[in-house]
Amino acid sequence: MIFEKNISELRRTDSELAETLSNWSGRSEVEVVNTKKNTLSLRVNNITLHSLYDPQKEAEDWVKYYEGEIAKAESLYVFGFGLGYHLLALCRVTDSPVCVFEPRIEVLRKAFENIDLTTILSRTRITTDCRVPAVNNCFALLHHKPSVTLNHKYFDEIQVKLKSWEAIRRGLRILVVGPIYGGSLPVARYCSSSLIKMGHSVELIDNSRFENELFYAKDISDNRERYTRMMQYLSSFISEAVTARCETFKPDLVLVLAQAPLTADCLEHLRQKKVNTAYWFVEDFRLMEYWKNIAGYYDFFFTIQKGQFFTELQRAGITNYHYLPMAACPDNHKPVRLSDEEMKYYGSDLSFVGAGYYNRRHFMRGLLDFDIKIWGSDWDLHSDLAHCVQRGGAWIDTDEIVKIFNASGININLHSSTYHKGINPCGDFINPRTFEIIACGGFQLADRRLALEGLFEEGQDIIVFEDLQDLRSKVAYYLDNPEERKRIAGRGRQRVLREHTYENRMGEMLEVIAAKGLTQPLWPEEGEDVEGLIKESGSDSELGQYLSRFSDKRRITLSEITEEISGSEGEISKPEGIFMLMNEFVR
Amino acid sequence: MNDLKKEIERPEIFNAIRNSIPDARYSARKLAEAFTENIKPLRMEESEHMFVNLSQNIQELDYFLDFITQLREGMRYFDGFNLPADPISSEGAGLSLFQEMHAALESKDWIMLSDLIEYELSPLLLKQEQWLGSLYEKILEYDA
Repeated sequence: MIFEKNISELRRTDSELAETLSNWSGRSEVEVVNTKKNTLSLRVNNITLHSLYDPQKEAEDWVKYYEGEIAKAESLYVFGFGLGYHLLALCRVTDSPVCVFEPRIEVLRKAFENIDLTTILSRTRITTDCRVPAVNNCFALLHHKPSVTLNHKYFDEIQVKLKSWEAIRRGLRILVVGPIYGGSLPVARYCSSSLIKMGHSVELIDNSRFENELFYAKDISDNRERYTRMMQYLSSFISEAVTARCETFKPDLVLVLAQAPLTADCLEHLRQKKVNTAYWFVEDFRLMEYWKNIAGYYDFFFTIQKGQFFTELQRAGITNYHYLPMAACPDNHKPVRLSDEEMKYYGSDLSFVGAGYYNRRHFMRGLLDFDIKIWGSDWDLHSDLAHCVQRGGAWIDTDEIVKIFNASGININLHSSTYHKGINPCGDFINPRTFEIIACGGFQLADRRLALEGLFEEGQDIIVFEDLQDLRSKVAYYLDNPEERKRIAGRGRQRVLREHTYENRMGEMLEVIAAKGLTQPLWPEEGEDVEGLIKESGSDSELGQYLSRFSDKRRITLSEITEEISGSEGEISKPEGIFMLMNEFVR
Repeated sequence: MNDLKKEIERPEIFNAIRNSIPDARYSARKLAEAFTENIKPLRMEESEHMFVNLSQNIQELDYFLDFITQLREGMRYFDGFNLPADPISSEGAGLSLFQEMHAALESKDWIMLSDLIEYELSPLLLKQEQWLGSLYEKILEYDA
């Protein structure tokens, strides 16, 4: 009877677990035992889970023991379910959401069979595996000690993950390493600015400063061997600079963008220092095969393709991969007001922005009877497309691209291919342009890509074409229906802003990292433990109260405190004055 | 009582027992309190500090039990008091409790150990303290 009542309550919030518990019929090592107070306790593998004398009093003492943490936290994570006495007592003193981790289904089953849990099940989330939900607020970890003793490996893993979330919530130190040039250069900048907006301390190693050196190496000689050697020197130099910067900046995470020239020695050094490393391979793995040489060096390898690429990665013995599609940066890719001159200069019924790859050169010929402007490099200026190619095929920067996306009636997006005459039927990644056009509020006709599924709703957020014939008829239709274009562009933009920004992607990336658990780098620690300082000075003292403003940080240095004081307004308090004076002495 | 007086051949033993009982009572009370207090955190956490305290309590309990053994030895002079057996020795209560505590300690069953200390050992020590009190009163009565 109790079991049915509990299960029916659980079914409202977690039907999957309710099903699992209902169907559970495994061999049980769990023994239900009577207590002296005529209540129940559990024994598992010779470990008693609740007092055999007064489990309710024990539960109340447990809540009392954690009352400080409970009061401060916005959400509570409890390690161990047992028969739930401690959870019933906990829910009597707090309204905060409660998440309980319990790996033993048989323990849950006994609790559901024997104790009326209906009052707490609607507000308690039960997790039985190692997945830790994203944590974005201040939380407390409450250990049901005997459950932790029984399942210490499981709880160690959960604890590492939750601590990772805590570190992420408090803000990580992240070093972003960009390439020397190429498409991933702006991506490195977008990642960096997004991570800063998310509250992390970020440094971008912008290697574009070496662009001249790179082209110099390319131009100075036709000797391939010498060029390779010069590039090795350049990579070593950049890697040494990254290692040196790491020693000062002491990052928790080094995020490396595609084409960034880091050497194996540098990555090995970071591994020895237990620095978490992630690589975002924003490339087509079929064209750029260097992933085989680098993926294994990183803790996390993010890709814009899955399917066959995942198969190839597995075949190469690499398991640390995760899908992370491209995105838009709404600070850069946004609707802009254009002057009449700009509208005239950048505007046209149709536009295409991108390099003149083989398939594009063929395909665009089929649109020459429309008012079309082509922007970008590597187009054949001796072909019949030449009159459409703007500024003699010059490279276009982001600011101008945004204006083109805004000014065009229809933005054509055809993913590149070096060997198809039109659409690449095997294309399995989405280029950044797909997101950027939509983020600018532009209307887009994109070639069909399987990967669009799940990212956009076709026909509502984005319109796709199958071939030239289909594109031509859709161009004609949408040129005649500007309101429909506006509606689709507006809806697509909302979707991008909601789901496909670099902030979203960096959040997804950190979620993957937290799910595995961040390691603590072996940098020498700087500053003082904030909690320790508050405790030492007394939490009610003037100094303790002043220091409590830094309690979202783990450690703090004198210079960080004085920096905070310098940036604040109003009269300087006594503790602030003392810190300023101390800083003067140190200087 | 006169017969009893005859039996006491060694007044120094009598004096030693009489003089040591107040200290033993105090120790039993303090030990009961210390065990209860020190064991509290064990239901919540394992800390080195708590285990150090617990091992110190166990050592003190050992001394106390030694004293009880010695006292039992001396008790043969006091058969005439008609006191019941001391609670720790009675029906092997102490022995069986210590065996259970040892088993709980071995299997790291901290809840069981906490229960045994909080609900069995501490009350047993307090009973022992009361028993020592009764013994002391008898001795004073006799002495008078």
